[in-house]
Amino acid sequence: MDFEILAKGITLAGCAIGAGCALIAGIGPGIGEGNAVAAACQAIGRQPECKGDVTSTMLLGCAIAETTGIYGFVTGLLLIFVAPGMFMNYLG
Amino acid sequence: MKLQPDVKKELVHIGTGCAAGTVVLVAGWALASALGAPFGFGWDVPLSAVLGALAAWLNFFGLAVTLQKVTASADEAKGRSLICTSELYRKLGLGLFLIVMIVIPVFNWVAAAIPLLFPQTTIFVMYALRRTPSQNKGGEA
Repeated sequence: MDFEILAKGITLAGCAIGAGCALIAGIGPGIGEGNAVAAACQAIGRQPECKGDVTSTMLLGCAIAETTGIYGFVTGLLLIFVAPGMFMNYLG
Repeated sequence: MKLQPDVKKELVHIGTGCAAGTVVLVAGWALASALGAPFGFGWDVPLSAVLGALAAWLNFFGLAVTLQKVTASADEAKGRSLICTSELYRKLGLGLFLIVMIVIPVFNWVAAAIPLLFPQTTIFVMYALRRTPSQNKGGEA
């Protein structure tokens, strides 16, 4: 009985720690997009006639940069909302 | 705020990609279910997939509007803060959407989570098919 409680506790703690680690992935895209936007502003300042091209390229680049953030976010939410229930069912 | 033609074009591309991806996802799910996969197919799958694709497109739309606003001002510091704020709110929106999909049993969270990556998949496909007209025009020969 005590062993079951301990196992459940360790499982929940693992899920919470894993979710926290997964959500760290959200930091990277924010920094990267900030740098991309800063560089794009400089580029537009230098060549205002390229505004359309820069915006279009930056839009696609930022969307790609967000991929890791979305992966991490989805993984974190699954570890918080879905994984504990599955593990608890398994442990009984 | 009026959208730039380049931004509008990319929004149409991504919207088309999301729609096509949703059709492929639902068809693949139905086929796998018919072939005996352990997950069932019901009306919740297309509903969740459509909502997921809509959320993904809205996330991209938010990004596009923010970037257009940033390039219009061309202020570096303001741009950084604007994009960080935008990312925060868009992530919160996506999180809320996913939590609703997971918590409410009417929806299928797997079918709702997969379309969130359709814009990125569309961009990869566009690059693979060399459908990036605005970047390459006027570049090196």
